[in-house]
Amino acid sequence: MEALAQIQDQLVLIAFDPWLWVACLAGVTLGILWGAMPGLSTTMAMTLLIGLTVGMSQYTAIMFMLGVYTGSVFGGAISAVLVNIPGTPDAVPTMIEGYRLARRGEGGLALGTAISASFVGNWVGIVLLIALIPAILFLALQFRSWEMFLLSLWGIAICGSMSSMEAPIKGWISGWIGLLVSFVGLDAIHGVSRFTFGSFYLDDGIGFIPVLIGLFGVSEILRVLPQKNPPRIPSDVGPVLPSLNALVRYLRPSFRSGIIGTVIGAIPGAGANVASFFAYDIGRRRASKAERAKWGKGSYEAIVCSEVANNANVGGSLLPTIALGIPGNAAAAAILAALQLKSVVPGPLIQVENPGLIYFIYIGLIIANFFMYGMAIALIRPCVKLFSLPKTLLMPVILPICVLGAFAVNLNIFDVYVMLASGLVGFVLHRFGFPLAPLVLAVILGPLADENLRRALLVFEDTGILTILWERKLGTVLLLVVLYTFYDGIFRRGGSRT
Amino acid sequence: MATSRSSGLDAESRSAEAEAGEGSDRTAPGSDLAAALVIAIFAALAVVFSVRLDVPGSIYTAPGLFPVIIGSTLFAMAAVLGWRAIRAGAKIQAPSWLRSIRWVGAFRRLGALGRTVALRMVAATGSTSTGEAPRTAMLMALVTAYVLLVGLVNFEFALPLGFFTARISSYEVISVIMVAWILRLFWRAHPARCLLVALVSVEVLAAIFRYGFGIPMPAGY
Repeated sequence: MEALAQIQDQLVLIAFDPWLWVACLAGVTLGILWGAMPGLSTTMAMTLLIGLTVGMSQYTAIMFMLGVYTGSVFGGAISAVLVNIPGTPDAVPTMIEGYRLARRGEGGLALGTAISASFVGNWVGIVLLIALIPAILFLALQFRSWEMFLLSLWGIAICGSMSSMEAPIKGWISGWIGLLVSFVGLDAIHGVSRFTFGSFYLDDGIGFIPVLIGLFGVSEILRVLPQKNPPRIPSDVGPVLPSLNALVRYLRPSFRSGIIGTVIGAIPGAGANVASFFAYDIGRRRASKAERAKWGKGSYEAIVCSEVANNANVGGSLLPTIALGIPGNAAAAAILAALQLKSVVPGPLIQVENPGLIYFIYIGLIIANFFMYGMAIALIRPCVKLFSLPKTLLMPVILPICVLGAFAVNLNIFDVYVMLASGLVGFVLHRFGFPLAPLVLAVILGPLADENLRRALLVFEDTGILTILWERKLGTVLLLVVLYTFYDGIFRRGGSRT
Repeated sequence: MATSRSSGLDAESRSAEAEAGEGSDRTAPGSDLAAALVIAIFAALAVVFSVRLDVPGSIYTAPGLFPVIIGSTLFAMAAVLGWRAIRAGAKIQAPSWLRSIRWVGAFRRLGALGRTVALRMVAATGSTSTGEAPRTAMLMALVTAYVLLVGLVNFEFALPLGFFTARISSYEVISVIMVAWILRLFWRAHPARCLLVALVSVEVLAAIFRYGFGIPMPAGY
């Protein structure tokens, strides 16, 4: 009954505040435009546009960021289909199939199928989010210092291994560097300065938003702008909307891919790119013989699998973000940042400290999904015009957005320097094949892991190891999961590589 | 000699990257070795600084406890990465002039390591196509100069326009100049066109932040 009353309150709040609708629509529009630009990722959109939420109220900011998230995940498909360049990494399977269809003159229909699949994918993610979050919240309340430490460590470990499939050690190194960065500043228990070297500015620590903007924004500019021949984009699209029969035919792969996307999204660190590739691969194995023959040569079912999975990932990645305070991926980390900016601390106590906010997020996702569908259809043609602009024109214009985005969080110019340093480091790390997502996750999760490890060790001071393992069963399970993650990365994938 | 060696490294990086594909974590073994060395030094320094931190209470709550663990394990991971790179064919080769001097002894190895790291850094961060390295270096310098100027120069003009007071901050002036400069270098359009694009984009952005969301410009507070 209490839940129903809270849902009713949130519905009334949204219905009578037109700014929430405007913010959501603006977020979806900006997200689609951003995601559709070749090479500009969802994470970059989220991190740069966080700056715009500083002056917004709590609810408006959340609606805006949910809109950006939903819009930018779909946006990646536009340039993937039209120009064979994925707007976001998770749109690569869509690119493989969609571009071949576009070359046969079916680009509009391929895009329309992608839009419809994204719409369905978002619904699957939202429904599973609503169905699973009470169970996860119950579980989350069982977490204490030891479990929280292990969970943080697992998040970083699995992010490292998933984002660096061929060499998990590179992902872990990236995460460990992020942990060391997160230790800079006054420590939470004793107030001792760590790695500040006497600098007054470093006492407050290194904020993760400037790090995010630097790693994904500045380093992207440094990578793309010096290229001599950036690709140009054609402007003709053709028909867009698919038939209802075609949509009904793909219900089964949609549901399967939706579950895959949501579950992978709920695992910290495993982003939409993993989800879309996984669903694409499973879809091929489960497809009929005739359909399987089209795979890789222009299959609509393949587009459905990929797009449903990466959009269901939005709801999935919000599961650990809201329930545990651990972002499902780097883009969800930006949602986490936006919530924290508005004094909302996601985690096991969110329903106690901010009653009804979870339901607001559900409703926000549903509204964003409808806006995404409408705007995607409406924006296809203008987007194509926009992408005909060269990257050498777009990238320099993005640079001042990076500077303002980093500055706007604390109104502190030091954050802009942090952004620059992160951009240069991110550029070098990327060139050396190190994934950047684990570094960002570690900067966010580092303080949590550090504080909880030391608290747990203090609690366990006079307790034997066997007693701890027996009495803290959830912790023991998590410890085994962490150890398995490292074992899997070192011996299975590492072994197969060599 | 140095040029041919650099070209060789470039070719090695290029072939590894081309083989691995876009966004892959596969790099040339030499690059992995260089990265491992730099990370190992970084990790060792982190351990040293962590050990030197004060311990106000119990050892279990020591501020340096977790950083020591992370620094040590990072060092171990760097060692594994370097070992794998050597197994994959990365070589630590001393420069010829250094090899001819016998008395250098232990320093020879150190010099060779430094040279390998420097060459790999240039090869990996520089480019995958001819002529991209100077453009990347130039862009890095411009972006750095832009950020430093935004931080160091601080002024704001107010222009009363009857019912409305328009404000122009040092951020906007610097941004317009630097964005126009970068556009001129990389977009290669007419200077006036670059200036116009920079002016419009920066002013629209500044207006959204300043008037739309009430956020002051970096120098406007």
